[in-house]
Amino acid sequence: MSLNWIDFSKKLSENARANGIPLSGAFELTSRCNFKCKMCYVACPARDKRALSRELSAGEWIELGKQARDAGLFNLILTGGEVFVRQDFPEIYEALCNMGLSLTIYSNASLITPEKARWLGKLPPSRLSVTVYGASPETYKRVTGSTDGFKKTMRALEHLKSENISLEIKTTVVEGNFRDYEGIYKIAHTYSDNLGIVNYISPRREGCGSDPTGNRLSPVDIVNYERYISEYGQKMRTVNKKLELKIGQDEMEEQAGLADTEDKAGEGSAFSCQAGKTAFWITWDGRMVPCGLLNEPAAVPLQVGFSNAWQKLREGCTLVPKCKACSKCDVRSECMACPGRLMSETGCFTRPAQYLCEAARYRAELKGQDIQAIARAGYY
Amino acid sequence: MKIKSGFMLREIAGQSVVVPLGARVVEFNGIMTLSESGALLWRELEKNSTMEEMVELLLTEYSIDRETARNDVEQFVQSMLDSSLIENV
Repeated sequence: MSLNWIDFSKKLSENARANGIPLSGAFELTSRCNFKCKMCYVACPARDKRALSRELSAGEWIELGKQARDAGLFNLILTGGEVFVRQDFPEIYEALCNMGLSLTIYSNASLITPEKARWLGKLPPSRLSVTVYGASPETYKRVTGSTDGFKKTMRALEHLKSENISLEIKTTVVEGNFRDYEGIYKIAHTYSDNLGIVNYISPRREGCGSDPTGNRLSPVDIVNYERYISEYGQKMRTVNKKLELKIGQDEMEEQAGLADTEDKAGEGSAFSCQAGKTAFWITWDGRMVPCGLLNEPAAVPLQVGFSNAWQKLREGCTLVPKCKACSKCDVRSECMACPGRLMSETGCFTRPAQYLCEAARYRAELKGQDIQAIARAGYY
Repeated sequence: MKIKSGFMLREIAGQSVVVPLGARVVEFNGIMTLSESGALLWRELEKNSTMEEMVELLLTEYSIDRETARNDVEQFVQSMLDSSLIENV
């Protein structure tokens, strides 16, 4: 019986969850990037020697891939930084391609030359997720610090499309690019069948000279942005139904086919996502953590072995406390709070984060206004 | 007959599946799930076994008659040929 990747993953997820199998993971291959986005939580300069010296080698990543595969890994995200700044990325990627994994690459695409696109066309990932930071050279300069980043990214998208690579377009919304939403939507429409909106900017996980909170939208503005692009998307879908909008959707949940399902097994856990249940993240310097936002709980798989690190992570995640105030909050259904975001925002798992609270209240307020408007129009 | 290069039988979360490797993804962009007996036959095919040897394997592993075993093997082989996972040598 033939199934597509997503249907297959969904079928397996329940079994993985019941048996604590690390079905999904991310390898953060580098902290270095050729762009200098101020909002990024992991963006060291491309030639940062200190960061380079602490990165795992190609051989170490390949060994981790083997151990993770043997422990049950299937969906693997390769991310950075920017993975294509690593000269040995082809070596890592080609080895992982032969392990029976479903690979997704996250990239800004600006370093993907016609030669690299052809190479990917011969060994295609399940998906290449390209983050687009704006719809003009000016916006790219403002957000990424790169004057030719826009041109290079658009050229790369053309080359990748001609190689039939399955593309996803994503955008990270910040002060410097939120006005480009129509242009970004059109770019996504040209090259992909979906547009992922990253609507939450985390305070930095580690220092690389970035200033995420200084560049993210206010809680009110980010919620307004969500509404603008949703309405624009609805309008455009009447013209062409191809493009699907995904606002703030977690990649690993989506890969596991769990984005819209209730995690009954996780009712006692602080994590409503799959972190520490069927998913893990390995940082560029080799620490296994629940997700890209968290530094704890952590284990070092190259020291203790992948399976032991995974067990330690699972146990650590069960000890993460729930935020009681968040659990009781009357607008929690509109809130993006999770252990990773609470820790990033407040330094604590159990303290509500003002930024998230304000956004949730505003979402709930707008939703209430919509319901009242519909009621006044006589639909109820 | 033999399995084409570039395919791997994996057990993922309790399910036996055949996944394409490397360049095979271009022509086989998906996965094939196998039953317990299908996975058994795949492992036998990895040894370049004949259909008769696969029939004997099923008779050893399951309480079925020879005709049923032969039908099962023929269906399995045809399915693999239809999906271009194996080739006659």
